[in-house]
Amino acid sequence: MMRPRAQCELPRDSFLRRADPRTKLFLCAATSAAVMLPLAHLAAVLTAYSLLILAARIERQVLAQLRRAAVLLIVLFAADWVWIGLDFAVLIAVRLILLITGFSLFFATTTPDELQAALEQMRVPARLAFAFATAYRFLHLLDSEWREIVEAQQARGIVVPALSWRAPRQSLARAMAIIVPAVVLTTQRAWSITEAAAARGFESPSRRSSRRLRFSRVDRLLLTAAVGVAACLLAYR
Amino acid sequence: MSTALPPTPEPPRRYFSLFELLLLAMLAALIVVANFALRFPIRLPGHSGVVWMALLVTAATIVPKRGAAITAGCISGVLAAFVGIGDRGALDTVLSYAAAGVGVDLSMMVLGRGARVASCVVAGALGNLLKLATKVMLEVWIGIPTGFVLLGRLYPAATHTLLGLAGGYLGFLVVGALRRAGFFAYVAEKR
Amino acid sequence: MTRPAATTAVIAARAAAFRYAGQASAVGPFDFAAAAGEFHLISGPSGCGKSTFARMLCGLVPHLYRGELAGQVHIGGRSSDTAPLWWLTTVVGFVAQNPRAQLLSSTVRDEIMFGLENLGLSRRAAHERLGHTLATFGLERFAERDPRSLSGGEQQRLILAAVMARQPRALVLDEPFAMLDTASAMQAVSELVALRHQGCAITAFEHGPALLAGVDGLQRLALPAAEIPDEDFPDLAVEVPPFRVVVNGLRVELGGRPVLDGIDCTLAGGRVIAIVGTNGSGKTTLLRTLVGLHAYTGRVNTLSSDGHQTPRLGLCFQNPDCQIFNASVRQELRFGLSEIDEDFYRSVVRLLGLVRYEQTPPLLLSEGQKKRLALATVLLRPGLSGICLDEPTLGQDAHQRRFLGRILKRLAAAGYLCVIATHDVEWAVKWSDEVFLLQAGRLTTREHPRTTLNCEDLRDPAVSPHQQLR
Repeated sequence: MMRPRAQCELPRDSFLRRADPRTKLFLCAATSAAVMLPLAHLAAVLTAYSLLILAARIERQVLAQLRRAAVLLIVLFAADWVWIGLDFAVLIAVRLILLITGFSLFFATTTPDELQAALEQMRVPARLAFAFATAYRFLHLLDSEWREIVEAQQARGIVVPALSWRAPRQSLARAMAIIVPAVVLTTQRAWSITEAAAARGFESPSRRSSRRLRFSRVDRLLLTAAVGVAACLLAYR
Repeated sequence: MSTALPPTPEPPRRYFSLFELLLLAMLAALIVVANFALRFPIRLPGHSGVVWMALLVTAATIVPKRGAAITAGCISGVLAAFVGIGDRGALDTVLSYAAAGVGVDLSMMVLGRGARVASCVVAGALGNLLKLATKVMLEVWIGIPTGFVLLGRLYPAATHTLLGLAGGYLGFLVVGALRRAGFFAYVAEKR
Repeated sequence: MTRPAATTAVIAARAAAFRYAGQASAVGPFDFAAAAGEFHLISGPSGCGKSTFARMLCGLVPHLYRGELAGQVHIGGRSSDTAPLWWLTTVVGFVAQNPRAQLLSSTVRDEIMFGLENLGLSRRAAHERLGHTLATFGLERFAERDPRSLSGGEQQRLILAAVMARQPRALVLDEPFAMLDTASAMQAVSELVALRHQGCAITAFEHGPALLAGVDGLQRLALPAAEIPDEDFPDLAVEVPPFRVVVNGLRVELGGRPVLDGIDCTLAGGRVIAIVGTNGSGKTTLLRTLVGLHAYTGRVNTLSSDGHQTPRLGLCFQNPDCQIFNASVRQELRFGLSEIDEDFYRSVVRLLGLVRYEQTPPLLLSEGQKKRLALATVLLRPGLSGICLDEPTLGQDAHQRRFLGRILKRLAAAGYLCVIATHDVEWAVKWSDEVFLLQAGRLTTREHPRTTLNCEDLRDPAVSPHQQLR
């Protein structure tokens, strides 16, 4: 049914893969914030970001993402060109591309465990970071449980997921036959995790995370490059 | 008879208990799973909101505290971004689903929580509509003329509202079924 | 046998009882004390309060559960309701029934580290303890593996390691062997005995003493059970025509890996057939293949005597909560059925002991009752000739297991084929007409249960010589 990207396929090893998640988050946030720059500056940002995408070896994922938005991009570009002008059409298209792909670098090269560590070091409460990471770890299991529910209900002759607008009542009943047990199982699972975590002292005030992220040469290089690009953009106004 | 032991600090009182937080996170994960698993035959704008709103409304009723839907919405948005849901990139996905959570929480603040059909239905509609509004605001933010952005948005606004209503109603039915099946009695025993 | 004084006990309970919020009656009262180096077994049937009692002894009750705690429970010298839970868990470790449900991390290493982080140790001390724990529990080679990829026994060992890494003075285990095959369970018992010799107070809650009977100095406490009325076992208002399922050269691959290979057997209606084997041997896959949930190569032919209808098999999943969602047992049973044979419905409800629960919300039933409800929902499907059950005795006490056995015998008497996948060899020997032994996806033995089972194959010292009958 679903193949969680970061679970079934670990991020590919690359120069960016070894960077601290906080560095990547900063670069992505800066890229997204840069969408308001004028066209010439945007082109520089887009070029720099594209180099990062290539360095991270995620160009295929990014292109797939752009393909999904292709209709929107083409329609907007054409309309802007016709009604306003070519420069404006290019500007908006580039901004939209950066908006769509701006965080791809982060999500495609970071595992949830790394995100949990980064969140904790950014002083996000440990319980929130743990809850998020747990939810991600259990995505695959919840998917299996969903399939098991579908099979179990089919064993009783309840046909799912044949949802149809022509038979809304039956469709709702079939959806309920899956969703209700799914919520119950999910709640039971959340409770088991709560007990297990509490039984190992999770909410202890003396808790110390064992994960320690450290900025490495890769991070210093990336941050220096980002500052350099920003300085050039400011200088060339 | 106890031996003298040094005092131990009490943990601070939390708004959400660990169980509530984990439950919201796991329901957020269920939202992502259901998004793939339950497919509707007609792909109208906002069709994913049926299941998304149903489960957000359910989460906000099971954990009847302000902020429950926002928490579940934010987590579901980040999870969705990780697995590649959304055709406008991760930022749009995260913000849209966080906004959906805001809509559900706001609506329930005004109309009340619990298994009330009006509350659930309006929450679903508002949540799904705010999802669309987030996309619109992002488009305005990057400089697309507002008039152009709003042009042709009447139809998606209508479908988002209707499908959000449907999602809220489905959430109401799910909550009702859970209540009748004894689920809330099970949850009520837990802190 | 003298009980340790409360002053020397790591855990002490006096007239301890707990009433859950919204419940009229309380669980308890209990009296108990456990000192260092002692090994306690607290046994009792389902519903007697074992799980609640276990959680009272480690502080999870009342900290995680709403309700009222009466009496006294002292853990490490402190009252459990006033001391913070995180502190109580430094004194007592807790291991629940299902190891899979207690996994919290992405790697074995992180799983153990999770508990160590909460002790506030320095990074160096935590890593030293991690290394020591991995070595002690034989988990070094799994350190970077995903805990979910381990077998059930390995997962239980990991949970035990994760808890014991914190060096608690006592350990409470709630039905720790329920999900394990016999070999893994015996391994777990020897690990607990070793911990006991290191001075840890071990308290295990189980249905019965079978697996722990050989532990030196075991102290037993039996919890009282409510009177369990004998259930009614009427004949079913249906007769299934004779049929056979013939399997030839069955091979099933999952994820590119062969799970079943070269299975040849004939399953006849009117029989109870048990498929036994260790965890991971392919039992569940075989059941799922028989009902058509997996693609396979080879042949699975269902031959009926009358030639009119192709007999169909239904599957009862391990977790009954997969199916339950209606407001009452009655609605659950009747959901999705356009036509109901009322006589057949009534006979199924009576046979499965659900008459008095018809108006009860299904989620409030006990696990055993839910399993019977799930069985009933499958049985009521029209045109069914056989039923496959996946680990139906898991977590069930002796009464429930006996009840299930009698139900299956009745179903077989009506002509149904009953195929049961189980690692409960004792139950399989007692209640089935045939036993198949599955090892690593291959059928190695097909025996009448009253001949010797190959104990070496199962590494099952619990199947004692007196069960061999000629």
